[in-house]
Amino acid sequence: MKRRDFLKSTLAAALLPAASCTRTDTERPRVRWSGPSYRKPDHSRVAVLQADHYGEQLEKRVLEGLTVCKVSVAGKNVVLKPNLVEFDPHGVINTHPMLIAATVSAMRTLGARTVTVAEGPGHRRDNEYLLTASGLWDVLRDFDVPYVDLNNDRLVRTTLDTSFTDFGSLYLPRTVLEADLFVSMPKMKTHHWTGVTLAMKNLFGIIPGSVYGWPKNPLHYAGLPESILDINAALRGDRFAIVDGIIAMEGNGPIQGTAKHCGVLVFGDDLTAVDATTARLMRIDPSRVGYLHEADAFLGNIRRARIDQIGEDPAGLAKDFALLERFAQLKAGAV
Amino acid sequence: MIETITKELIAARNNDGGWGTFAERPTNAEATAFAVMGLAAGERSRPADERGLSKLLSMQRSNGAWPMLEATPDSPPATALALIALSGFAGTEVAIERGVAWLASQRGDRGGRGRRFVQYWLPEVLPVEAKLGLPGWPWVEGTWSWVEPTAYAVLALKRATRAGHGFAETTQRIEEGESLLRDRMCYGGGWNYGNKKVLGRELPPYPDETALALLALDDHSNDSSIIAGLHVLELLDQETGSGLTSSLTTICLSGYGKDSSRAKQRIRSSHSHTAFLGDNKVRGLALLALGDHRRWMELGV
Repeated sequence: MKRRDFLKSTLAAALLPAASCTRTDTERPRVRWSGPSYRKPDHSRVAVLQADHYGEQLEKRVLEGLTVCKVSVAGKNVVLKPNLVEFDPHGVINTHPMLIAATVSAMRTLGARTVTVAEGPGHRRDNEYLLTASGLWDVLRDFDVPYVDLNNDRLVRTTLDTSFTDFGSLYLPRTVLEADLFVSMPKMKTHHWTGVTLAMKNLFGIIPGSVYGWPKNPLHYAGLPESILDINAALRGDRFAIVDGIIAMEGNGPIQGTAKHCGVLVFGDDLTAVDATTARLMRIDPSRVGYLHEADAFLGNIRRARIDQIGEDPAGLAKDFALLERFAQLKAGAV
Repeated sequence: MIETITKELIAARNNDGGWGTFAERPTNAEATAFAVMGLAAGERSRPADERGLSKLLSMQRSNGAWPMLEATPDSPPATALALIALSGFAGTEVAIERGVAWLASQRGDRGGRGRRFVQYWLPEVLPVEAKLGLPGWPWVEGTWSWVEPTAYAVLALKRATRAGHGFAETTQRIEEGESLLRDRMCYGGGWNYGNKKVLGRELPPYPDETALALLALDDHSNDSSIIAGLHVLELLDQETGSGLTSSLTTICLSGYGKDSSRAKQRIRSSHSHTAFLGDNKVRGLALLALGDHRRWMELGV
C-alpha cells in the first residue's frame, strides 16, 4: 500500500463522521435511558412469512401475519407508516403500494375503526409527485384511505425520557401520537450511514420537515443511531411492524442500492425484535448494529432466545445482502 | 381555474387569518406567504389580503425572524419567504428591514477546520461532495446549508436590496449564497435538496429545487450552469407535472423569458387530477404562477 493510500484510509476511518456532517453507526451511543423508558418485553413474537411477489395473495398473507401475532385491531384507529422517501422508476426505494393496499384491507377485515396512511418524506417536498409516481395515490383513491403528510401535521412538543441525543424534546405529529395502533412498514434495505434501515429507522419519517427541514438534518447532527433510539423511545402507544422484504434493497441503500429478491414479510409488535430478525434474514448480526445492540438493553429484544419465531424458519430464508465495505463488520460471522 | 383555486384557498383559511399547509392545520408562515402572494397575483385588481398579510406580519418575532409555525424556533426559510411576500405590499418596510438584518446574520455550518483541512488535502476521503467554508442558509440554525433555504434567502435579499433595504453585508451574503448554489449544482445541471454526490455516486436533480435555484441565480442568465439548468428544468417538469413543480417551473421559465405555456397546462391537469392534495402552499404558488407574479418574482435577467 502506498503511503498516500495508507494515509487516506486512516483518515477516512478517523474523519468520516465529521466529514459527512453525520455520526456513523460505528460510534455506539452511551447508555442514556432510565426506568420510565424501559419497555423491553420478556419475550417477543416475530413472524416471518414467505411472499414471493406483490400479487393477489398478499392480503391473505398480511391477514395471516396479523393473526399469528395476535395483534388487536378491532375498533382501533390504525396509522400505517410506509417508507416513501424518494422515487426512482428504476429503483426499489419504497414500501410497495400493493403491500400497503393489502394491509389496509386486512386491517379493515379485522375490524379497524379507521385506517390512515401517513408519511413525512425526508428528501422530496413534492408529495403529489411522490404519491402519484409511486402508485400510492391510486391505492389511496381506490381504497378511500386518508393520507396525512407528517411533515405538516399538527405537532406536540414531546419531552424525551431518553437522552441519546441532546434534543431534550422533539416535535412529533399528533396523527402518530394519537393512533391506537401505529404500524411501521419499512422496506428491507441496507443503509449507507446506519448499515440497515428497517422498522425502527423508518420512524425518521414521523419527524416533521416543517420544523427539522428537508433533509431532517438536525437528526444527522445529533447522530443517526442516537436519534433512532430517542424517537423510538418517545412513542408510547401500541406499535406494530410489517417489513416489506419481498423485493428488498442491498448495497448502497437506502436510495441507490440494488434490488434483491428476498420473498419475505416480517411481522411483530416489538420493532427491535422485528429488526433483529430481519437483519438475520439479511445475514447481518443485529448485535453488531449499534442502535439495535443499544435498544436490546431497554426497548426490545434482539437475542434469538428472547424472540419466539413463528411462521417460516428464518434460517432457511436468509440471503446474503451486499453491504458497503465500511459495514463489512456487521456481517454475521465477520471477524 | 384561478377562480376555483382562489375559492379553495379562501375556504381553507384558519380563523387567525393565516393558512396551515393543509386545512385545519396550524398557521404556517410558508403557506401563509404563498397564499397572500397568490391571492394578490391571481386577480389583477384584487387588493392585498389584509387578514393574511396582517397575520404574516404578526408572526414576526422581536429579533426580526419568522418561525415556520408559531411555537417553533426561528426559521431562515420562513423568514426569507415572509420577506419575499411582504416585498410586494406597501407599508411593510420596517418589518422588512428587521427581517433582512436577521436573515443576513444567519449562516449554515461551514464545516470545522478539521474537515476543511481534509477537504484541501484529501477531498476524495469525504463521503459528501460539497465545498466546505461556503456559508449559505440552513433549515435549522447551526446545521448544514441546503439549496431551498439558500435560494429563498438569496431571492429575499436581492429583492430587499433592489428596493433599497439592503446594506453592505447583504451584498456579501448574496454572493456567498450564489456561490453555494453553484457548488451544489448536480452533474449535468439542475439541483436537488443539496447533495450532488454521496459516496462517489451522483444524485439526480429535482425540478422544484432546480426552479428555485434558477430564480435565485437570476442575474447570471448567460452562465452555462443556468442554461443547463433551464434545459434540465423543462425536461424534469414534463416527467413530474405536479402542482408544486409546474408552478415553480412556470414562474422560472417566464422569468427567464421562455415559453411557460406547457408548464401552465400541467398545473391545470394536476389540479384536475389531485386538487394539489389540498396543499395551501401549492394553491398559493399555482395562483402566483397563473397570475401576475412579476411583483414578487421579477428577475434581474
